[in-house]
This record gives sequence, structure tokens and C-alpha cells, in this order.
Amino acid sequence: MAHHDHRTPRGKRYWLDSKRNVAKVFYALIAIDVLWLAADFFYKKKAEFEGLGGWADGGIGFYPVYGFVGAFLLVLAAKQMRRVLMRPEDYYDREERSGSS
Amino acid sequence: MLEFLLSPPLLLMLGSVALAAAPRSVLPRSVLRALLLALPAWSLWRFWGLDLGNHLQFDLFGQTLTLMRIDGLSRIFVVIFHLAALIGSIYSFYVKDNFQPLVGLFYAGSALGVVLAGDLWTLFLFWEVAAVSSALLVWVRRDGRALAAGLRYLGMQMVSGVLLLAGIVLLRHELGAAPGWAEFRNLTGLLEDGGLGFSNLAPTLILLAFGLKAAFPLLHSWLIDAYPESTPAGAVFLSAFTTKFAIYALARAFPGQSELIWIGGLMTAFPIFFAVIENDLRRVLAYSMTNQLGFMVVGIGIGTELAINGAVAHAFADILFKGLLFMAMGAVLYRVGHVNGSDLGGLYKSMPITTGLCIVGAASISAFPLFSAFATKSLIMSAAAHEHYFWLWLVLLFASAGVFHHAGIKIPFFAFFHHDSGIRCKEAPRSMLVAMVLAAAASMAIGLFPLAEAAFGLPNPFYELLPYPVDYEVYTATHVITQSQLLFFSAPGLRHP
Repeated sequence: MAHHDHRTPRGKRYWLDSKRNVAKVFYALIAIDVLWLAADFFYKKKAEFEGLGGWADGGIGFYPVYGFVGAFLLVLAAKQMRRVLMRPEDYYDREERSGSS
Repeated sequence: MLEFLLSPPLLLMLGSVALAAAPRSVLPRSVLRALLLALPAWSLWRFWGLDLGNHLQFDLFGQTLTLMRIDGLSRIFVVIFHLAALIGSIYSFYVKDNFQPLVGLFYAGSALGVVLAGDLWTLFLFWEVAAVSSALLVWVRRDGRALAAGLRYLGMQMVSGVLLLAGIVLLRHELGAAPGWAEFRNLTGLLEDGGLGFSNLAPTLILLAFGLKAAFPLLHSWLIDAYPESTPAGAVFLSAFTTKFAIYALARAFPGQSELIWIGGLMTAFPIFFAVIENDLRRVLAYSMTNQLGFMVVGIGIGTELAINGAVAHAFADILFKGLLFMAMGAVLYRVGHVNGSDLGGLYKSMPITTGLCIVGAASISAFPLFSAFATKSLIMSAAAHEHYFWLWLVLLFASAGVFHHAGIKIPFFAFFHHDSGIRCKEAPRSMLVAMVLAAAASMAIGLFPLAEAAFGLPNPFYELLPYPVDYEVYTATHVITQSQLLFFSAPGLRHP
């Protein structure tokens, strides 16, 4: 099924092969974030909730803070889960083999 | 009789059997493939000419069965199931063997039977046919793992069937007559006096039967287990039908069932933790599917017109963008031989078109403005906000950021970018690319229609398909800015501490 080889690429270098360019992508993302945050100061949101003192969906910076903290905590929690749950790739295959032998 | 045979469910099922039985000397591969595409296209064209209401009723064992009942809710599922059958068939032409598209077409026919069924007995019949035909699509990979996973899968599907049958029989006993359309379309109504539980066993069993196929928490493991074990094409067909006709059945029978709100909320949140740590990228997509189904279940539980529209619209969009992501990962599996995230990377150099199409799928599922989920998931989010479910809304918002992590970033990043694994392979076969382009174009169209409507007053054919009239503005400054903020700010938050 697979039609590939694992030769080390030679010759052509792509733009993303440079670590400096990868850093540029990250900094561009930060710049975009700053622009989106600034947008909050130029329009009035329509709030649906009283929750969190009306900040939840009516205040400045709620979505950026919630997005950043939520994603941060998600990865943090998943890293702890990985310690408990992670098994080798062939974990169940090994059990099957030892069970059948 | 001919009208029965030409109904969408039977046309696809019997048509695929006839094509499979025809000798190759009579039906060369190219003609067979043309017919594989012509069948669903013709079926959809015929369906479009039918009026709303009951069609093809007949008496069996003293009961009147209705093969087709068309209304706003069933119609949109019929449309998307035909499109999914077409796209899946095109995708599967990368293999010479036509067994997969033939089984896929048969399975699509049974799924159409479920969403068109005008009574619970007809629903049960197609429910079971879909279980068996979909198991074949797990087994088509023809190795030990797929065989074992397919058996486990079939076992769980049969449990759903038994629960459904027990619920229907009990309902018949309690009513003293065969449950009709009135009972089917609103099993919630039967629950008003006692809620779910032993006091209302019949509807509770039916809800569990539907919930098992909709991957409710603790009933979801078959999905994570079986779908990633299928072939590239098999997984595309599988991702389209079973879970979505379960969503249809829930929307039909249990709109506004309040328990569904919290069941759905849980479904949106818990899979994202597992998706973060999973390495098999097609298994990540299976977790992602549970997460997206959660949004739909929430919408059904809220039960307002806006929420039901949202659930149905999101089911439609999910078939396209999840199918697209499964197709992209299937292309990687086909070319590289595995989809282990830690062993891939740098494939954008070898598969640039697949990379681009995968990014469209990733943007669609993440609900970026201009892409499909922005115009579908927002209906559910807004319905939750309008009904003042504050904590639920926070959970859905968190789950939205989580979707962006595992499906929006992780899938394309680990497969195509990340560090260069040194793997060099060919671009995906042409049939795969054509199918992916169609799914990507449809995903973008769903996201762009509301913008064209707001900007130029053009009609929105997608919203017109929804069961209820849509009075909702997608592209407001608040929606575009807040959704972009949520997604763009969650990206740096995902950098490991």
C-alpha cells in the first residue's frame, strides 16, 4: 500500500526548513493576536449573560483570556493524563501475541 | 412496485447488489464506476421531485409501514447522505477493487432508509441493515486488527438494535397499538410525567439505542475502536452515516429532552483531552467526531427551532469536513503506510495539494470565519446563550478551543509540517484529490453563503434546506471578532509549558 522512501531530502530547501522562518510565523501569530485584542476597543458587544459580572461575553478581553487559559490548561491536564494512560504503540498487540502463544 | 424499487433506500441498496452481481464481461470496470456515481445522482434527482408527506405505505402483519416520510428534517439528511455517497465513491476509486464503494453505496441506502422511515418498525429494519453493512466496511481492511475491531463494532451495533427493538415492543404493549408517527416524532412527549428511567422504560430504551449510535459518553468506545481500523475509503463512508442518522433519530424523537443538554456538553469536552494525547491521527479524528456530535446533541437537547436548526446544520457540515479530514489522513495512510503523528512530518513537500485541502477541513471544523462550522456551530452556541445556559456555554466555548487544538492544528501540523521526517512520497491519487476538492468546496460554500446573503442579498440555499426558517445573522462584527479571538489566542496557549 505504501509508496514512499525515507531518503534524507537533498537539494531543495523549503521556506519552513529555516528555524528563523518558523519563528517568524510565531511572531506573526502574536502580532495578529494583538490586533484582534485591539479590535475589542472599537466596537460594543451585545451581552447575553450576567455571568462573571457581565464580562463573560460583553467585556473587553474575555474571549482572548478564555481561549488562551483554556488551551493552556487543556494541554497541562492532558500531559498529566498521558502519565497515567500512555501505553506503548504495540501494547494490545503484545497482549494478543502472549495470549495466543 | 417500481416506485418502491426506485425509492432512494432501495435504489441504492438493490442497485449496489445488482452491480456487484453483474459479471465483469458484461460490466467493465469503467462502466461500473460510472454507474456507481450515476445511481446516487439519479436517486437524489428523483427524490428532489417528490412532495413532502408520506410515500410508499404498505401493510405488513396488520401494521401500516411507511417506507418514506419526507419533511424538512428528513429532507436535509437525504440530501447530504446522497452527497456523501457520491464523494465517498469517487474517493474509493484509488483501488481497483470495487467492493468498498459497492458496500459503501449499500450502507448509504440503509442510512437513507433510517432517515426516511415513517414509523419505528421501518426505522428498526434499516437500523439493523446499516449495522451489518457498516461492519463490512471495518472488515474490508482484511487484517487481524480490523477483523477483531469489526466484531466488537458489530456487537455494539447489535446491542443498539436490541435496545431499539425492546423499546418498540414495550411501547406497543403500553399503547395497546402499534406506535405511529405521532409517537415516533415526539417520544419526549411520553416522558413528561416521569422523565427518563424505569418508570418510562420504552422511550428510555429507545433513547439509549439512539445514544449508543450517537456515541454518548461510555457508549462511545466502538467509534474510537473501529473507525480508525478501516481502510482509507471505508473510514470515509463510516464517518458519514451511522452517527448522523442517530443524530437525526434523536432530533426526530427527543427534541428538547433536557438530559441531552448535559450529555452533549460532556461529549464536547471529554474527548478533547484524549485527542490531545492520541498519536494515531485517524483515532484523533474519531475523538473529534465524538466532540462534534456533542454539539449536535446539545442542540437537540435545547430543542428550540434555532438549536434544532443548528444541530442539523452542523451534522450536514460535519459529514463534509470530517469526511475531508478522514480523506486527507486516508491519503497519508495510503501513501506512507501509517498515520502515527510522531513518525510523520514534512509531508507538505510531497503532498502539497492534500496539505491545502486538509487545512480547509481543519479551518472548517475549527469554525474559522468563511468556513462551514462558523455558520453551523454558531447556531447551537447562540441557542445556548439565548436560553441562558451560562455554564453550558462556557463548556462549549472551551470545547471549541479544544477542537482547534486537536483537529485544527494537531492534524495538519503533525502530518504535514512539524519536523521533516524525511519521508518522500507521491501526491494522493487523482480520485482522492477530486473527492477532497468537492468536500472542501462544499465546506467553504456553507461558510460563504451567509456572507453572500448579507453582502449581496443572494439566497442561502443551505439555510433554506434546514427544517425551520432561519432568522440568524452569522457575519456580525461581534461574532467574527470574538470567534477569531478565541481561536487565535488559544494557539499560543497550546505551546507546551
